[in-house]
Amino acid sequence: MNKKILIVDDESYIRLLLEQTLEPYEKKGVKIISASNGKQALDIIQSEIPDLVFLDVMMPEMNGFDVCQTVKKELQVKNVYIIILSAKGQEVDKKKGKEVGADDYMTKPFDPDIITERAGEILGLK
Amino acid sequence: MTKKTRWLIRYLLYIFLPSFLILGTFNYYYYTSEFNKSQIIIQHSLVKELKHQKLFLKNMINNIHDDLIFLSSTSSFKKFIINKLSSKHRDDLSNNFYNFMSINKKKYDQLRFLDNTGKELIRVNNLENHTELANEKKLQNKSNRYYFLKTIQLSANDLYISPIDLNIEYNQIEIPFKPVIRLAIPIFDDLGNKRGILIINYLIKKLLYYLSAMSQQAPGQYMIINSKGYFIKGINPSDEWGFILTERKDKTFQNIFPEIWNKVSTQESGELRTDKGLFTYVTLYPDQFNKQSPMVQPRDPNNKYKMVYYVPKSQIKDSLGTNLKDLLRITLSIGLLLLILSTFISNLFANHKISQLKLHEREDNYKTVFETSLDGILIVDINSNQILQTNRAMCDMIGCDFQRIKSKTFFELLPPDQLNDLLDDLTLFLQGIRHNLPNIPLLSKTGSIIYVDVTGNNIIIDNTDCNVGFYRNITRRLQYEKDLIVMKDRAEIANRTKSEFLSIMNHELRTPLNAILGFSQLLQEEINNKNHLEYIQIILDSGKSLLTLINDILDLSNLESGNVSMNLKPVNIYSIIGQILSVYKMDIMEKKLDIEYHVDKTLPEKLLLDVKRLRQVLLNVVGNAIKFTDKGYVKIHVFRETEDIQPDKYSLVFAIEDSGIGIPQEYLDDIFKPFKQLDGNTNRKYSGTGLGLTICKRLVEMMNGEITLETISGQGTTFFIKLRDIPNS
Repeated sequence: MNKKILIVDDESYIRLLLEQTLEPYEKKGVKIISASNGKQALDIIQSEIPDLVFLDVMMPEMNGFDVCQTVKKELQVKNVYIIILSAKGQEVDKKKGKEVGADDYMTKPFDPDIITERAGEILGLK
Repeated sequence: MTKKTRWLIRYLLYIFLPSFLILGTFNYYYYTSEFNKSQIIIQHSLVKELKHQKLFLKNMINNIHDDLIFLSSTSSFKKFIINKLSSKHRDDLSNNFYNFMSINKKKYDQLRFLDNTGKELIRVNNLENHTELANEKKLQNKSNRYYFLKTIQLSANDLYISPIDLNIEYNQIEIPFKPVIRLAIPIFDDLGNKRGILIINYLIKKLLYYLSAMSQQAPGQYMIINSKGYFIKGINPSDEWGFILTERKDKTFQNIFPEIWNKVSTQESGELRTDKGLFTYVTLYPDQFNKQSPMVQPRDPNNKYKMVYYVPKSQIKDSLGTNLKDLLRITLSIGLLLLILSTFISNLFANHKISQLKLHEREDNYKTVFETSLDGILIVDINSNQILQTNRAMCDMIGCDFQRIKSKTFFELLPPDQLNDLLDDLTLFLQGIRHNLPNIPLLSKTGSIIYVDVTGNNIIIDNTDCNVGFYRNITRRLQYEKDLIVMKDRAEIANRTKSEFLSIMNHELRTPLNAILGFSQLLQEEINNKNHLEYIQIILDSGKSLLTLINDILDLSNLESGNVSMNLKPVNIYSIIGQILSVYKMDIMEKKLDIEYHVDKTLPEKLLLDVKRLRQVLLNVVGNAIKFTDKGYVKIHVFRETEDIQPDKYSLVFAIEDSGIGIPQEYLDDIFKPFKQLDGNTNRKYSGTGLGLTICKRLVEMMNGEITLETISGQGTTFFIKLRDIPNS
């Protein structure tokens, strides 16, 4: 079965940047899915069960922390690797990310190379 | 001198002086009366004495007179007279006279019979050793002598008494002095014809001796003076007989006692008290002593004598002597007793006075405290709730004058609509059960409410149970508190807003920056044109620079708001230095810098430090050293501060030395201030946000340390990062 990566961000150009960054994997058959808000993201996670989620925090409808909390703590969806990708880079934010069950925390602005590297590692495609 | 001593002396003067004065006056009068009494007694005794002496003299004269009468009544005398003074009978009589005189040798000096013509017919003298009958040839005519002339004129029963005289023999004053007095009687025959005079010279020496002897039992000096004031008997024998002896003619009573002579000479008798002493005197008229025909008026007023007793004052005092000493002793004792008593009483009074003064002083002080208190004060009668006393502050607070407030009861000061709620608390307060009440509303004259904090307690004033309360106006304070709370809320909101703003701004900047950097990086791989690659690189560098600035601003904001906490972990110094150098590996290789680091070997392998903060600081400082050094070296030394070693902890120093451009002196003051990176050429060559050292300084201070530097422009800089209180273990 093909691997799936979910990109969640309310800013379209960030979504575009991530999509472009991860394009090499799409060519290898990985399905790249995008969501522009938390609610949408939650629906997709439940229906698609992606292997990796890049999750923004500050979004309308539902923020990234709540999404992560719901997925990891309430629904206890298995085999979803959630990387919180936030402009909030402070200690408290990272701590909060851990609390809601995120697997990793990366801050914006991100280095596209590092994103590629991390995704390859997690999907086992390197 | 203390206040008490002054009062003591004052009271002592008030009490002791008058009492001592009274004592003195009393003593003076007592002494004077004793003195007078003594004088009276003395005078009394002297008057008595003088009376005795007068009587004695009279008896003496009478006795002589008796002798004359006896002599004239003898048969031989009568025969002599009847026979016309015949010589034959004269011899008989002479014998008779001789016998008489020889018997009375010491009493009489001379006995004579003179006939009418003054011729001596018989004269018998008592000489020193024998009695002598004068022979015919020696008889003289004495017709011109005063005694003859006086006596021959007398009638029967009359007696002539001569003045006292010194005997003159052959016109010479006989020596030793022989004071005499002549007594004579006229002789008549049976037919009543005057036949002559019988005259006898009486020696008064003995009489005077008797009188002296008698006077010695009486106090004082005894004197006899004649009518002219000459002394018959004087205080000194040398004063006597001045009327006969010319060399003593000044020795008169008048000269010795001039002030009383007038009285003594004119008054018959008297008692005089003068400054010199007491004078008691009587007058003697020898004429009056004739008992056969006593005369009321003396025949010869000049033939008189004064007998005077003079008692000098000193003698009167002497007679009081022991009394006086006793009196003095008693006076002194009483005086001393008075003094002691007065001192005791004065001490009591002074104590009382001082305590009274103190009380007044205290009262005044309390009044001043009362009046100057900024707190309002009320004294309330707790039975009637009537206000008894208040102060200026209370009047000002309520806006009423003294009398208005005093006419009210305590509860009338409260707002009527809140009275019910306050009643219980205030009643407990007035009863002295509660001593503090906060936030009590009072009604001011204008109707506005004043809030006060009340403290008070119960006291007793004039047997009345009262409550004294201090009413502190807290209306303004309450208003301030309210204002402060509002301001604090506003400040908190503002702070939160700021934090939120920063946080949002951070997010809002980062997200587009993410796109700029990300797409630039993607483009780098797509583009082959060299120029375009260069542009992309500029966009990337600027973006990164902007990102650093954003990060630094966020850091600084966090540090300033105190949102950062320490996180101590054991860490190895070498690994930290290694990590930091690895970050700048590229730059070091590019510039071919010599990198050295020395770590004190005695330091423990792991130190308890906040790694993250320390790393941030070192990254910054080491980064600067590398950035501003184009060639040469960068050295890192880690060692203990030798001056600052304590038993269980020490200070750790990181010294980062470079051979770079150094920092000009004029920039040193501003080096740690935000956005103060050097202007001009340096700014272009060495990029940076200008916040790095500011953040470092804050971080080091947060780690209880300090950051300092030494620099020589053009030669290099050394930064010292000192961290204090590093635990030893």
